[in-house]
Amino acid sequence: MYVCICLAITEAQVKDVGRTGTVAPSALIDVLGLKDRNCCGRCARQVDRFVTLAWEGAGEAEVRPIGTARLQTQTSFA
Amino acid sequence: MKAKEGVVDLLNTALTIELTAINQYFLAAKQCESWGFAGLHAHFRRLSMEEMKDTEHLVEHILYLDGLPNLQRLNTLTVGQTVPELLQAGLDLELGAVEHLRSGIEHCARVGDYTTRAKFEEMIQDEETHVDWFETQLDTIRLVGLDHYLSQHITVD
Repeated sequence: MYVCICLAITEAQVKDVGRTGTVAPSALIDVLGLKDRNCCGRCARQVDRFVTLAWEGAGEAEVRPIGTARLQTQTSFA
Repeated sequence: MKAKEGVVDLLNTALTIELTAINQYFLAAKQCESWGFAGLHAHFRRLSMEEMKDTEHLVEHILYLDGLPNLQRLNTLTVGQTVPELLQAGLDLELGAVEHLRSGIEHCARVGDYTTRAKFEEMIQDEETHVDWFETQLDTIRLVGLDHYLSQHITVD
């Protein structure tokens, strides 16, 4: 599903950004460019939708064993 | 003719929903065409045109009540990336429209504007047929599978 039409941003892309650990509203607006000059401004006003999706992505972060000792959460960088 | 309390606002909210629907369905039509589904293109395009007629009636009625039709405000479009997403988005929009019209009908009855209430009642009948169409498509996909459903919509009937 598209979540930002002006910039053609999809749910999957927002989740990917969340997977890298970016979930703060201001950071999402920055990284995704939601206040770009060509935007209608709607998404920056409705940034909660993006925060929710980013958190969903963050929840899907990979868990990889490090050595034989213990599990450590590791996020992938796009 | 001067409108009763709150009636023009309700009409303008309905107008916003219709304008949103025009754009959302037109884009959905063209996405379907671009993906090779001429049948779905035709149907979504017809839905968009029907919403344009509803828009015209609402604009006329708001002016009739000495109000200003708001053609500037749009709700957020729900744009899918796949045919099931397009259908679900349409269903959600129509359910929202039906809900709004229902509360509009109740309000108009309360304030005694039976003309606007009659217009809302006419509109809600049409929107409910749209709800039914979207629900039927999604049910059919569940019954026969997406591949079979899509292959039926590659050509226009």
